Amino acid sequence: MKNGILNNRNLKESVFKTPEDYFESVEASVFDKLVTEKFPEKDGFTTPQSYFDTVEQSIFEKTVSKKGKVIRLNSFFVKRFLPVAAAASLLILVLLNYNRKQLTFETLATSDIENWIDQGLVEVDPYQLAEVYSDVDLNPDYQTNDDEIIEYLDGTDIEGLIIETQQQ
Amino acid sequence: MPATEIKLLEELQNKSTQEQAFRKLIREYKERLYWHIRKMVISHDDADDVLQNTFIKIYRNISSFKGESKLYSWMYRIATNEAITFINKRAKESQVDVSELIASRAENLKADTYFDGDDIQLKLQKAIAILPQKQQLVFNMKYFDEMKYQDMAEILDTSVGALKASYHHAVKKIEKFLTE
Repeated sequence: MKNGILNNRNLKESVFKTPEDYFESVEASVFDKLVTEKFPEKDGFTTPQSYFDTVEQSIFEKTVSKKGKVIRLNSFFVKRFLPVAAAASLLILVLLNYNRKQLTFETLATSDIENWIDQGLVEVDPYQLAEVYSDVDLNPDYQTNDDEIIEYLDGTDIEGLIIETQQQ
Repeated sequence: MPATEIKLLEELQNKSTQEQAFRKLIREYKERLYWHIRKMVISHDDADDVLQNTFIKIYRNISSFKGESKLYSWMYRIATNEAITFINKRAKESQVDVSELIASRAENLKADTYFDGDDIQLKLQKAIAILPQKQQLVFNMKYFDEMKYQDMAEILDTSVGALKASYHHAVKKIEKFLTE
């Protein structure tokens, strides 16, 4: 009876499986192991001293620390836009505060308006100016070179500018 | 995905624990990712740039990672892609093929401050540098990183069989180069 159970052919079949194409790749795997034993173990690359200590902080500053940082608008663009847009927009403010019979557009000198701005007698919101005069061309005399632009961008947090703009 | 990775991923995707978890992630994986990238781009300065870009990308996309692969495999894949993009860009700027760029970098390794290999190590790097890009990747990941084929398959989206074949061809070519 005991031998009868053991003679069952199903029991002799292996229940273990191998990956597909395993035996086709064994020869190559053995060859690779033998050959690479003669290869150098290390690749020879090194890093500056303490590199791995400092890189962590660099990465952190460019990711988690950078999130939510608000930047002040640099006056670079404000100074460029302001003289052009201020003159015309101020007319609206001036006309609201002066007797219209006494003061007309033609009689109001642009230099007067600029002087008022320079003296701080009039507060101008550059965003309002930009909205009103969205088609105003930049003064062609204001030529910027690449160094100025790079210097500006280096000192500016672009993400913060975007946040600040969105908050307006 | 291993239990430790699952826990870390939960912390990374939770705003209140994300910052601390990301620090942990950088600490845990910076060296492994660095050396993987370094073997691809060869220069330390370039590897530094690519490593930082890799972590920036990981940080920006961690919220949308669905855990369909291991976290490490996903990060490794980002690192690989960033390195490939970097190499392609440099090759284009220099107006040479990618293979020419890598081969020339390997040729100049002896003068590199951050390479202290002996002659045979230098020769091995030159041998690797003239392999097709995929074989370079597979060889480095298998031989130096001792990665399992199954993990490599997940990262490179290639079958285990194809990876084994790639490795075998790479070993044969390197052996020939070293014995010339």
